[in-house]
Amino acid sequence: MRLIGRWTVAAGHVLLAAGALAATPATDHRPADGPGAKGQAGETVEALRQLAPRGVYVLVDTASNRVYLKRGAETLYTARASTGSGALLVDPRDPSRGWKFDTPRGIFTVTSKLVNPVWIKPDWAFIEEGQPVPTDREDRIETGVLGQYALGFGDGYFIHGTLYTRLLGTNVTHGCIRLGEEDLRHVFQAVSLGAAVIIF
Amino acid sequence: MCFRPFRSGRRSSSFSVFRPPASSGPAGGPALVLGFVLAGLVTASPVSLPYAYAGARSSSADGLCDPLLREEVRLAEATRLYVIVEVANLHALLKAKGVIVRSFPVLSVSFVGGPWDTIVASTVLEKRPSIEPTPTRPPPPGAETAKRATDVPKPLARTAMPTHYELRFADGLSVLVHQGGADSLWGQISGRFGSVIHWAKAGVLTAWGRLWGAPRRSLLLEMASEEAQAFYWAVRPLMPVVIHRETC
Repeated sequence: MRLIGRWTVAAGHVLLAAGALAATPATDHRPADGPGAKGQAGETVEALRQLAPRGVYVLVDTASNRVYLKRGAETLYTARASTGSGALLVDPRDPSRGWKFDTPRGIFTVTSKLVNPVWIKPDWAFIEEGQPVPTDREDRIETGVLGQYALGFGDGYFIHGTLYTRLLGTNVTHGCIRLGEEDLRHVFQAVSLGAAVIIF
Repeated sequence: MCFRPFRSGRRSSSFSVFRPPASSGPAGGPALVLGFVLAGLVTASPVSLPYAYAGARSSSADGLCDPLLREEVRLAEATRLYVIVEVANLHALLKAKGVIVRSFPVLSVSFVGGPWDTIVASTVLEKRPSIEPTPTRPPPPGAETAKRATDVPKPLARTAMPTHYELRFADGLSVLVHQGGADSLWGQISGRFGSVIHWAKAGVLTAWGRLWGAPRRSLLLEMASEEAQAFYWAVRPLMPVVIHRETC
């Protein structure tokens, strides 16, 4: 959890992997040489190329709610998604406690690949529904709501499935990135551990 | 005259950078308004770089690109997205690790105030206006009208983002974005009004800065409505921005 002012960024998704971790080595597909790669700028261009994401990476547009699979500048796949609502939630029992449901922006990497993930509901999920926060961990476990796969990219944020497919294409989530079943399977199979996830 | 805004657009296929004649009048209605606004405020001082740009040059120029590339390598080493405003090519590029993740076409670019180097690198401090959702308080536990997890009360949406706004940077730099190129009459009126307001604002800030010895510079970007909204969404505080006046 990270704090922004008095708001806690509301990832807090804890998932258990019921399946095996899948990992395949990333393939090197760096951008090809451009016209600027000659002359004095050549070394600098090369330095820039070295920094570019390798292999297939994920690009997430939180404004249009689209997920792209990319290799270099090439777009391999496009999917509708749901990303963070940006909404703020205040705990009615403790007004100094709040959450901001934002999808984080920046450059991340796929840190985990889970099959049949299980959601361990954080406090905000109960507070938002007007339910008491349980003290027993077992009462937080919810199965079947995150789809077949989940790709973690740090701080409790995941790309996962959803039951609410009618909301794909809109900003409605608590920070995670939701995909439809087929799109999730495609992304999960195409992306390796360590692949870049660029979110803007 | 030390302040004279000039507008530019994709008016020709050749790249041109020019200074307007020192005694010529301002171009367009907004500048006329500014002439009144700034009359008496602006005193003689070094010219404020009212460059105009049109079109894009086709040939690569390593000598011109190298400083930009070096700056970009520095930015690309971080895990943060950054923006490069390529004035000559009339677009703003959102980039990560040297890869373009989104291109925002720009209809016109204008410089107000100065000095302006070939490359200006800074960091966004704030966006004005700032769009934040209203905090929501869910019902207390046990209430009859319990909320569902998918009932998000006021989600942010790109279409709710402003089309006229200011990005404020450190050291007196600001980027003023306004809507242009609208098809509807209301869109055109709104865009023109926003343009005039931004011209006037930039002029006053520049004149005020000169009076108090604090140089101010403003870059005015005109974008289509959807692009302006998407750009507002994409740019965040602490995001590095590089303004590059040449073409690569």
